[in-house]
Amino acid sequence: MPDGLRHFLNPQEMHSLGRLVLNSRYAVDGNLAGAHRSPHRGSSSEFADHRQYIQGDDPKHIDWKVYGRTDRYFIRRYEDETNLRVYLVVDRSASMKYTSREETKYRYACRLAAAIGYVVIKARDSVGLCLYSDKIDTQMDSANSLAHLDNVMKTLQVSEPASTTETARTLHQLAESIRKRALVVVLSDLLDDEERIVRALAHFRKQHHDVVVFHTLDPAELDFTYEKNTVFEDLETQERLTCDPKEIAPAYAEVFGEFLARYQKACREMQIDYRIIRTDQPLDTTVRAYLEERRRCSK
Amino acid sequence: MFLHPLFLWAIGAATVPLVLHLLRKRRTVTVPFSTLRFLKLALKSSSRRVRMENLLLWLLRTLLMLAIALAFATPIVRTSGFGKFLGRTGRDIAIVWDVSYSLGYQAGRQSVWDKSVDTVAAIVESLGHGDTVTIFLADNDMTPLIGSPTPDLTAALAQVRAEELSTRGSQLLPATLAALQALQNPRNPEREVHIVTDGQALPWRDYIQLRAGAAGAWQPDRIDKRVAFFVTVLGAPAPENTTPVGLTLSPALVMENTPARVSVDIRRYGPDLESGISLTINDESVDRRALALAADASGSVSFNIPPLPEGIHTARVGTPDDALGADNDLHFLIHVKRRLPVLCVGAEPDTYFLMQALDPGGATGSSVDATRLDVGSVASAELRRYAVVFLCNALPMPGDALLEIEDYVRGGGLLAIFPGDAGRPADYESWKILPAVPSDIVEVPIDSRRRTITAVNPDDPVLASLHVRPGSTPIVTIRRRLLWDRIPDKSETVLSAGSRTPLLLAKSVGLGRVLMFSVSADRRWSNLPLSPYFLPFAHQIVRSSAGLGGTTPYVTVTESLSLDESIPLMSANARLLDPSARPVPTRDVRHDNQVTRVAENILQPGIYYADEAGVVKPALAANLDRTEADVTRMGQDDMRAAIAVRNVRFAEDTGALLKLIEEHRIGRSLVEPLLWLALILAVAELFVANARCRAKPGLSDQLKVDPSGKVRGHAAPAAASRTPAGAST
Repeated sequence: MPDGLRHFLNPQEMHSLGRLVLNSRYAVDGNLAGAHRSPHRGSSSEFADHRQYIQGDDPKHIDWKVYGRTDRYFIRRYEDETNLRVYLVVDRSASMKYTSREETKYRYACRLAAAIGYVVIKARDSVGLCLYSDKIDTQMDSANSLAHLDNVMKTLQVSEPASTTETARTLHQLAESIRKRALVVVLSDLLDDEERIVRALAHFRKQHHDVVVFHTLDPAELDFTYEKNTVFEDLETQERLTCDPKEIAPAYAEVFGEFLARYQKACREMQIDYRIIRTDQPLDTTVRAYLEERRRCSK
Repeated sequence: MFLHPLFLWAIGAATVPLVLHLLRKRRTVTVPFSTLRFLKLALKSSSRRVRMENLLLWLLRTLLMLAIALAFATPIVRTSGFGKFLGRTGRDIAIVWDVSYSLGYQAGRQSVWDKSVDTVAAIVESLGHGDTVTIFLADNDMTPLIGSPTPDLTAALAQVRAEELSTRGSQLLPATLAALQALQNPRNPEREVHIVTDGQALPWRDYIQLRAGAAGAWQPDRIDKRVAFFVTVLGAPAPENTTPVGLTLSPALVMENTPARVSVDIRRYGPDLESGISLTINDESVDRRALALAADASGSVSFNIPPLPEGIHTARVGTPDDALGADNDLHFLIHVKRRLPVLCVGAEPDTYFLMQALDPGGATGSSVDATRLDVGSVASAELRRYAVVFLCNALPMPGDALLEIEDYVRGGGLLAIFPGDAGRPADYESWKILPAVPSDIVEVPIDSRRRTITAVNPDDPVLASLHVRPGSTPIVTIRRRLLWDRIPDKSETVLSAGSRTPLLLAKSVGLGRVLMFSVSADRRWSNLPLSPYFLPFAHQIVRSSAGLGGTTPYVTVTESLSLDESIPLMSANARLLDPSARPVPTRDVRHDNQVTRVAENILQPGIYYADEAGVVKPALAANLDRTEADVTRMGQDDMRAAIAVRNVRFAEDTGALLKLIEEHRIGRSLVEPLLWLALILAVAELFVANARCRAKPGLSDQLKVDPSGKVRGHAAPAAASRTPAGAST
């Protein structure tokens, strides 16, 4: 049985994902020259703005056309371009073990992380990992090699969903630990206090990170398609509840819809890219569609 | 009670929904779920609504099972007339059977009358051993067919089958009262009054009219509550009828070879219609006119009567055939005279001018055949032969002569009195038929003798066709005249001499009329007989006699008809034949020392003939009572309000009536309402259950998540307004 990256992605999926690019919507700090905008002014061909000439500036940057119009010296400044650092933040709480089909939410989140990571590495950007439950279980710094990605995936592969969730606290810790601007991809069911999680996400935005939230949900969680009288057992607390699913389905749809709507609203206000990912969707379709849309929006 | 109580065990099926509900609750499966947080919230918000829905569904299903189980058990509700033993109590029934001619209405293949015979027969046949029946026929009056309760049902049935439709109108009330009277001394515990009618509104109005006041004939509050009323209404739902209701001959006296006119009134019941009205004289069609009749309205049409020879001519006005054919023809007689017989009573000098005026051209030249008689011969004269009797200075007269003349007037004769010197004021006092009793005979002063004749009442028949030539003033010289101190209210002044002196008084007496002049018929009292107005005036008096009694063109069918009044010229030896040429029984009725010849049962419409020694002549035209032609229906609610009896049931046909009787006697089955209830409950259950199970769009469909995970829809309408839940897992 293959492990690492190949455990989550088959060759066909890798082939189809290889030509895709994950663009950051904001300027990011990198340590290598790359295809992404940097907050620093540099020597790329992308014009940024003008600045008054001061002594010591290289005269070759003087914009003589502006001098011809204004009789004053201005220096042309250019965008610096750097590589992208992507942090995959994966929830491995017990609730991620839930599935109404064959594939758990955790496995789907891992596959999605693998696909994103593969796209990032193929674009010569670097990828890091943060695996958490009620605390940060594993944190791997970013690197831009396939071997690094393979290690990340092996880490995910050996980890199993367990324990309770402390998403908010974990995200706060992570926000503090990532110094340079990066793209943070959160893969979680976010079944925690919404307000606290939203504040944690705001923390990332405060640090000028670009944040993507993949709200990973099983179809049964969305549509609540149970028929018979059922005893539901909480995967995290083992608490039990007996009810008739058909009787409470409308009310469940209402309260769960409100829960999703609150995340949707908060993320929109913070300009966080919020996506609901159903685990019954084909992975390559989901990733392709997402990256295509993101590419269109970044133009 | 239940007809099939075995099925009451099925009521246990009402517990099935509850049992199923409990069994379903017990069978559960255990499923791990990501978090119970949202399930708890959903359970909290939906538990009350779900409980209500469950309760409603359980209630509906339980009631449904109960209704079906009870329907199988066939519950019966006993009604008020239910006796001690099921369907075996004896019955006394009284049937009020409407036999008016309106039941001849053809409603489909069968006439209403045929239906009513079947219905009455069915009622009688429904009786059992020991039950009694009385039957009263309701036409213009009550006629007992079986007057006292009889248990002989076979004979009663035979009588019912033999009964024929009447030609008379309908009054249900007298027969109903007789029916109640017949049930006053019951032999059996149950008493029923059955009214079998055609739904015509006419006879029901009597119940309302005669209910007013404590002394009204119809007192529904006093009727024994145990008497059940059944009304079977058999008529057509929207009947219509067209009938001639009356006619007027103009002039009233038709002379030989003289044209005349007849104006016919036509009544329409139902929607508007264009009808063809025909006139037939002596069985030959004379004319036909179209007449547009508005809905429920009357119309009039006139026909010219061609010149006819002297004699009595039969005629009829007809409307086209309709559902009620009995009243389509209106028969009448046209009496055509060549010369009118007139009797002048008095001495020759006293009657000379009048005789000359009445017959100026000799015995054959005038339309008046005048005869003079002395006063002493009056008592032996057959006065009914004469159209007018003139008395010229004839008073005082013998008492028997006065009585003869009085009878003649009351029978429809016209009496004209000219005073004279022979009579004194006292001679007039004892004669009650006079318009006014003179108080004196006065001489008129010379200076006031010339008087202008003034018509006080120009519309009086005596003056109807008299016209004064333009430019001329009728003036008469009066030397002596009768003086009337007071003119009774019943009398009227027709002519006056001058402004205030009455010249001619008139008074109606019985069917006839009395005219009394204030001057004599000779020239001793005035020059009236010499004036140019005397001759036409005398002829007009004779003509006016034609409009008096005995000359009506037709009569209405009746059970008793005075021949002296209706056919005064009919000989005592003559036989009256009905339209089928069967002799009509007649009898003499004595009243106040007077003998009147009365014909019995003039009930067949058509022409009646007088057979006198083999000579048959038309004598009488009889027609149906047109009041009965009003076929307008009354609704059941109005009938119920009219009869005002609490315990009354209505049926539209025999089958429905028998079912009502059965329900009344045995009870009413509740199967039908229970099945209806079950159907309604089933529909309601289906609706409620379906509303619960109706597939509502899932959250995925509401959110409209695209392949990239982007949310394009809205999760829930109230999502934004809710406060965030604080519970964490």
